[in-house]
Amino acid sequence: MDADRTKSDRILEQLKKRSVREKVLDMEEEKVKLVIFSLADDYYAFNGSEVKEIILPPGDISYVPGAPDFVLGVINLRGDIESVIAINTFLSLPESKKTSRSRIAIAVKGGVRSGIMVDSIEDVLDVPVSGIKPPLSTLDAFKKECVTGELTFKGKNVTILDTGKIFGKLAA
Amino acid sequence: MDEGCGPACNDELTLLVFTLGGVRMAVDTAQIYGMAHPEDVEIQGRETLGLHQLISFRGPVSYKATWVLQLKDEAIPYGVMIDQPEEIVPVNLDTLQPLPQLVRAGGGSEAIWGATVRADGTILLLVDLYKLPKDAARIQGMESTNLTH
Repeated sequence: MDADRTKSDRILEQLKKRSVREKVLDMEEEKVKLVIFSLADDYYAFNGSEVKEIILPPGDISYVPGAPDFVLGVINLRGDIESVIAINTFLSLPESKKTSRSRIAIAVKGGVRSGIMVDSIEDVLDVPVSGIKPPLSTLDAFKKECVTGELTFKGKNVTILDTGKIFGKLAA
Repeated sequence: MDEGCGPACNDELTLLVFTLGGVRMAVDTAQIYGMAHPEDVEIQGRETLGLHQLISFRGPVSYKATWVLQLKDEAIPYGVMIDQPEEIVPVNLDTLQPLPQLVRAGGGSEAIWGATVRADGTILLLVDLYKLPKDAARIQGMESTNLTH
């Protein structure tokens, strides 16, 4: 009898443990997908939900006379004409040179869609929200508005950019 | 302003394709009544302006095979100099696309109003010749502003 009770107790105990484990899993921390890229030897990131695809820069980016300086030109993406912009000047960074590691991130936010030229794509990660720190207080007000946070990746600081704010400022 | 729209213009534009400063562009032939050599236009005593003077290019622009477009709109008193005319092609209106929003940001060119992708994948920028005076005025305004600062 005692042996039976012990067995049922053990089973109940296991069921309880499993339930607790499931609760822990359910309460697992919220994560955010980030596309980490490099520009002028620094790491930056876009929110993954805003990046629709990452493409190799085509051989020819068609320059558009009269377009703002940050617009590198337009490309043919499967029949659709997309703009390609450089955000270096916007971030007070030196101009980048196109290399074999250069990529174009096609981003969409706030009704604006554009390719953004980056020096390289470093990773696409799911990062716990708690791992993201608020933007540095030393950033100037203009940049701080376009930065949503920071995190550490491979020992380096990654600045997370707000695509919507950047597009909004550039489109104004 | 008669732009010479025939019955077909509901479905397609007939474009004159050319290259200037490495940029492939096209204009609606309905806005043109003729194309002449610069020397011939000079003999006629008509004024000519290079397209690069009317639309802001980033770098210097050189001409290799110059032609002058004579416009139907008599309110525009000059011929427009283009380079390397290639072909005249009909293009279906369904294939035309507006320029992306960021390209149009910051008061860019009004004359460059759209683009189309050719069968070979290359992009043609569409130029409205009748809007060139507006662009030219804007460039002149910018230059005079720069001079005063």
